Amino acid sequence: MGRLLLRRLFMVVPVLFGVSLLTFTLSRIIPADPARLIAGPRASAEGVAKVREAYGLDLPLWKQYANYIAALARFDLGESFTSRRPVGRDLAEFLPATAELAFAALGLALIGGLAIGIVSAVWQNQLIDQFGRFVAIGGLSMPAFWLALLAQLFLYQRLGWFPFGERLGGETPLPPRITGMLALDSLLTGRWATLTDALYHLILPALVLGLEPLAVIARIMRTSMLEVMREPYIVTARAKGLREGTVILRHALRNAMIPVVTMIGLQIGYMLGGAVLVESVFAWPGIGRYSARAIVSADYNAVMGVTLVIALIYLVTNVLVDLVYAWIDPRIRY
Amino acid sequence: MNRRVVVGLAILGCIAVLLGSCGPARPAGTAAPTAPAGATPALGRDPKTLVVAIYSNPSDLDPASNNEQLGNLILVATTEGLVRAKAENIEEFEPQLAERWEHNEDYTVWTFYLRKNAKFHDGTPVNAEAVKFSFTRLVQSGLGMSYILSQFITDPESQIVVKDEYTIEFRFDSPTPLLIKALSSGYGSFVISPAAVKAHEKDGDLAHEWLQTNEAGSGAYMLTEWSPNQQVVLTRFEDWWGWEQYPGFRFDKIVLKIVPEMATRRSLIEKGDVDIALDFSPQDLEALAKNPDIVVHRSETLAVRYIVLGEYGPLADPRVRQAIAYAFDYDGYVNDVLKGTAIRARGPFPHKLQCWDPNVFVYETDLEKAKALLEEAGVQPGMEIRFMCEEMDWPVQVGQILQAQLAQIGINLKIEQRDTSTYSGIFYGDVQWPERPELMAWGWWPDYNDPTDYAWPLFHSQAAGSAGANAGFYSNPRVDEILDIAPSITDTAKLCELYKEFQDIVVRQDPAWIPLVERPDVRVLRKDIGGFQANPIYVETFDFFRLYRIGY
Repeated sequence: MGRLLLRRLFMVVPVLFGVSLLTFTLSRIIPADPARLIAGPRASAEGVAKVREAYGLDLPLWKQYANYIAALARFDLGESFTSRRPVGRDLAEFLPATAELAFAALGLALIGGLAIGIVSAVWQNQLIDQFGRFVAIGGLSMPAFWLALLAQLFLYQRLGWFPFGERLGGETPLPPRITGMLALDSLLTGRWATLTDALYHLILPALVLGLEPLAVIARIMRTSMLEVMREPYIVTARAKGLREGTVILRHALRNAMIPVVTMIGLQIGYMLGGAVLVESVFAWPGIGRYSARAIVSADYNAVMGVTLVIALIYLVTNVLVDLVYAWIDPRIRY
Repeated sequence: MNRRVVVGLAILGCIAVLLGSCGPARPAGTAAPTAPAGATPALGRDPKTLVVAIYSNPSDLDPASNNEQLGNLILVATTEGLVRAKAENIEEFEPQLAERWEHNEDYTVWTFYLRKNAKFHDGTPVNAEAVKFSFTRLVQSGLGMSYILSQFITDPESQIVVKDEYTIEFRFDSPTPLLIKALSSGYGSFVISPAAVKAHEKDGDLAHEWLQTNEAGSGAYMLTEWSPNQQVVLTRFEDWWGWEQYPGFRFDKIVLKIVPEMATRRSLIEKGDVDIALDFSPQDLEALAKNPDIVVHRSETLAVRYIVLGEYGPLADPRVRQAIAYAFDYDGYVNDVLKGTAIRARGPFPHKLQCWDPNVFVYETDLEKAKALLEEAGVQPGMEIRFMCEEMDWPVQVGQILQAQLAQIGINLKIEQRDTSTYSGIFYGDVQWPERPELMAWGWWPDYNDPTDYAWPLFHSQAAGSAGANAGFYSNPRVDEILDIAPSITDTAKLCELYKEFQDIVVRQDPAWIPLVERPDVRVLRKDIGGFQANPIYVETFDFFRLYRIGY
């Protein structure tokens, strides 16, 4: 286990270096001119040149990259052209918002997906299984963006059950910042009114973002459970006279979890990708909206910063998935 | 535990998850998300707070560099200039920080008399020194908007003279009739607090970095919160000199919520959770106009949308450009696509711009004439040209109409969409044909009401590529000549005679553009918002201090 962690940690640096080189090259080969965008459509050629110089965009590409890497080594991600603030500060502000949304969505997806998957497998082809199939196919076929708009139209505009979006109501005080995740910070500091309001704002976007992973987890869980339930050791467990609940929860579930864990790891990527559109509809100030704006504005530093952070999240997630494998199945050794 | 019990528990679990996600309509112990204590029941929120749904982040508040409209919406609320163009007649000016002004006979000396009761938000007085400091900073900054004054003022130290605490003079070697217009511009010519600039200056940047997300003005509202991707909050400045002119109910707070999704903005305004919302599609506007609680406010502006006709490659011959102009379906675009929400542009100038020619040549769709012109120019059927635009609805629709029309006269049009930064890089870049597309879609409006300010960056050969906004590399010696001599002409009749010839050249004789429509400003307001006034020259901005809530 220790060796695995060590090996993965050694891999982080070259992978991030590769990602930075690739992103840097790709963002530079597009014929965009951020200096022109910053200076504005009416700026003179001298004005544009001045901006180019101020942001170091007039330097040769290799030098720009070398400067970036040198700054990165000091954990300096540069300044965003669009927000006019250090990228590190932007990420510290926007990443927790997305993390909060993604965790909530993943939590809903896990609870709902596992429950539906287990029930569908146990009661295969019965009414409850048909219902599970309906939810799963529905969740997979409805794009999050469209679902978000529908949810907003009915649950906010028509019924008034939920706020339209944002992280907190206008008059709700912010909790002291610990993680930047408002619900968690409110919980840690005992701000119950803020916690309730934060959860109230979180539910709708989290449900929308979580529905597709929920569907995926439900289907994989069902298939995996069905396979496991036919294994000889399950027959043996039943023959021993164990209760059905013990058979399912202690013998079948754990063995059926391996493919689900793999899928959860992959869903993290979906969460970050899908968050762009969901955040846009629910005016959620997260990293998805930040990165979308950065890309269309050729905000090189912001694009680099977001890419590196997402790459890092992927690396960490993969390590976690490997660790969970070993925990679920003690036969797996690294 | 038997199988049924397990299944039953699992079902209960599922139901619990689903119920949990529906939750109570409003959590106990928490106020409604937008309903503070003391709100009037009818509105459900604080009536003294105006909530506006905007579509993106404002990106810059430094008057010397800001060029985008959301930044300008905040700038005009927080920062003032010496004079403003009148909304009802943009040829005339009204006082802002200057109470009155005068010029000598040959327009070489301008004198402005400042009001004595104006203060900056930091409490320091607005006086002649502050005006000199602000305009000197603008000129010396060399930033994007500095040309507004630097085209007239090259040596601020000698040309801007403080006569006394509240009197300032501008001196020129040659007639400068345009100064008053440049000072009324919605760009650049704002007066800011010298104390604030000096306090936040870093490495000789004239506080540019600080001013990008802060303000140092004297306007009716102060910037009190700037949360990227969330909201911008403006708070009433009690010491503003102008409040006595606007007695009665005015807003204490303006909250600009950043709501990127159009459908969300529509939901918010329909439900009444915001008072004003910006940027909707013609289809949304059509639906919103039918809502009795909503007013769709349209106002004319000086903004024109057009197609650039690149003067190179297959379009080098003016007859090919004329043929393309004849081919476009103007009525279909205005009536069917835009549903009559914009008026057709007649010529390259918007009709409210000084020297617009009401008799300018206007193309009507005529495919036969277009074919004949192509034949005359020796164009073979099957010629392929490219139309490039941003990934936005309107230019794509324009491209599709043109594509269908050109197909009928034997031209294959390829539509290429690019994201904003890439498109901007090409439009304002020096990429040459054949990499440069033959046709491009764009929009433009002047900094102030003057034909030269409007036309020089678009049509002068020296403004081609990265030197300006002449994206079609248009070059016509007579057009250059007119643009060069126009700024010094003080006789309006003579000026307009020259521009009449100019308009005929760039549309009929040697087309540079296909002018499409004059784009109106459209704002969607709840019907209880009164006092709204639009000014055609200050595109996409309006004054918050004029607004009030009807019934309060």
